[in-house]
Amino acid sequence: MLFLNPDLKLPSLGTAVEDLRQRVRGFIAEEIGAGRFAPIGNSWSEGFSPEFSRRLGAKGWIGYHWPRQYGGQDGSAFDTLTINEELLAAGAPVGAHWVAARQSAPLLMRFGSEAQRREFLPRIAAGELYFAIGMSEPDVGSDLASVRTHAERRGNGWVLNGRKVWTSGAHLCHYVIVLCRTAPADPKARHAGLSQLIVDLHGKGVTIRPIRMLDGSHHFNEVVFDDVEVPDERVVGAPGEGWKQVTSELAYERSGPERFLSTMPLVDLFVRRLAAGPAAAGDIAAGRLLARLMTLRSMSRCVWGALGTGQSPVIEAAMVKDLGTNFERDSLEIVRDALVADDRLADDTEIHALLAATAALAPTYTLRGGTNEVLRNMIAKNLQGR
Amino acid sequence: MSDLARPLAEAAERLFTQRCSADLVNAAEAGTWPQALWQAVEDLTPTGLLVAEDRGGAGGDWSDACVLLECAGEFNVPLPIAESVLAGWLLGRAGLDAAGGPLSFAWTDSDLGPALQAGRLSLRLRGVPWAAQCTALLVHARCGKDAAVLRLPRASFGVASGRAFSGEPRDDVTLSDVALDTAGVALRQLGDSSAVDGRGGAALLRAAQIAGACRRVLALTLAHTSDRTQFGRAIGQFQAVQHQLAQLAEEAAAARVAVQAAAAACHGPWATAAIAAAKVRAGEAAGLCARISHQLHGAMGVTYEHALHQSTRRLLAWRDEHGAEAWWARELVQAFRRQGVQDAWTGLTAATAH
Repeated sequence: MLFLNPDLKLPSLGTAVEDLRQRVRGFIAEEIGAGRFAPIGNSWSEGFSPEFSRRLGAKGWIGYHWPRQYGGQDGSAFDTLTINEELLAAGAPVGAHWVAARQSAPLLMRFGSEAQRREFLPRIAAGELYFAIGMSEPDVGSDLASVRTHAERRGNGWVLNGRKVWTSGAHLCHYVIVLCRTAPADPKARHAGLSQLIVDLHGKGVTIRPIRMLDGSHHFNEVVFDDVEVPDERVVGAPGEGWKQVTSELAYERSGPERFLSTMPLVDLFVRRLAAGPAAAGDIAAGRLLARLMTLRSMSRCVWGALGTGQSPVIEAAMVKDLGTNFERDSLEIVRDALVADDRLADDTEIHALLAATAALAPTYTLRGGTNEVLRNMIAKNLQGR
Repeated sequence: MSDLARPLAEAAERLFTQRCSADLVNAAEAGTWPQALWQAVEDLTPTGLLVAEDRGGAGGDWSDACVLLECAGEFNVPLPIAESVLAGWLLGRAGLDAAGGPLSFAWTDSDLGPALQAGRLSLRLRGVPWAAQCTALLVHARCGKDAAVLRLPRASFGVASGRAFSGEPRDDVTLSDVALDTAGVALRQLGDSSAVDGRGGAALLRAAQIAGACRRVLALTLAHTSDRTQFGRAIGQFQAVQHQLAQLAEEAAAARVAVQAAAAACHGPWATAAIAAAKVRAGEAAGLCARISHQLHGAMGVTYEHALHQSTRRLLAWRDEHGAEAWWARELVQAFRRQGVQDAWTGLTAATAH
């Protein structure tokens, strides 16, 4: 395991990213100053703003490390990491383009056809094309290989039938990448016969229904496919290779800084208030939060560095996600206690409001992208050499 | 991390695998000084590790020191290796001769300026590691605002021997009106500026030992849960056990990364913040790793016969030494204030730039 390897090298971002970091910070300050967004927790999931995404795209800050011919800036993976972590920490509304940039584009870059790359990537980089994830189904959650949505061969394409649920933002996105069965299930080779199709969410036969969140908000959807025609050129990679592809997609989905920064705007405000005054009782709680965050940032960067050099640190990513999402959950409780412990914070309406808003969907933190239980199964299996 | 790290880690691991058995650790805890092992450790030159090459040292950095102490922590090595490294670091900075080891190390917040003026010194230090066995004790102190180093040959101080829960000697040291011109005694103000102070250096190396001990309890627990059979299968086949194994590994990983990140920050303005984060995070890992490894070892793990206690007692004792999690958590926020940082994120990114 990377983290316990004697030769562990902690990747340094170096000074090269500092200029970019300062420019991103300047942009964020400008946006907040002009009232174009207010920081929120969980902004990569709840902050859906096509306008903001387009402004980022215009700066070249989506897919910064992609090749220029696909809309990128030929930057390094650490440049993109720097941009992303600054936006997340500031609670900026990056939700519209987030999934497309984080995992759909890398998937197409790696497995997609040249035509698909040329068609989709530049528009994702421009902040104008958004993707949803079509993995979970009513009876298929953690056990993803048992998906029932299926596509049958017809002419020069496929006909898709089935149902996906918990599809975040499907009502606002343009496409969904659907994991489906293109060959009958074989009990001896559960992972065979799966494929990934790019499906137009506005196309014929696609019905999108909201599934309200516990606080009444509209985020999840049910997406029904009823004889949806998908041409061959919308198959990602080779038919039947879906499992290998989706596993690589999950490495991107699980390893990013959004897995420990969902509550950062709240933690930041809390520390900001404390640091503005003299040493106080609340320092201990704040210091413990910071220590965990600093360590998570270092661990996450190790994973990101390994991904960037073509390794597949699946177990390490799972470890960071388990630690990171538990940190997110804990941070809400710790700040909640601190508001009582420190008189100066007791009447701070801004912190209370941010806490309430961030806490509403906190149960999702340890579920989305693979439950922490499934992650621990994977980690244990790896440790035991099974 | 310099080029030293890998050969140093390999040499230390080879040595400790061959020579530092569980029996030797138990014997040391019962009061036997492991002289032969110490002589072998001296070949790794711990006292010269943090001394510049032009002063006759190995020219290593804090990352190298942490690699060595991770290894020592993993094997429960019952010797003042961390203390010898720290003492050598102070000797090098003060331009004092490197004495033969073993050396001990302590830090004090006391101002020794008046003693320097008067030429005589009285001082009490609690819980000094291996004070009775060392040839000299090096103390990181201050004279007024400057950092200072006090070198005390063994003969210059009195010792009341004690032993911590770790099983390691932690002695109380008393100096009663000792003349500073006594042979071997030296009190020097340090002209150089180091980003790391005595307490910080000591806390970082303890955190490194914790990271090593976490790795050891992970290995012991993986082995036990694959050997121990109940209900017809290895207990490691039960998901409830597997989830705790995963958590144990995560904690061991977090401790190690926090330590290495701090070691990499030791030469810059964020050294104290990074060390604080490492001691807090390693301390949290220590508590959880001790708890989980005991839970998964069942009754066997709480017996003297099983080696687990050698690691878990150390984990629980070390997390309190040189500042427990709460102490360093407070210090971390203070370090942010001292750097003039108003928000968490700016400080966080600067302190973990690696």
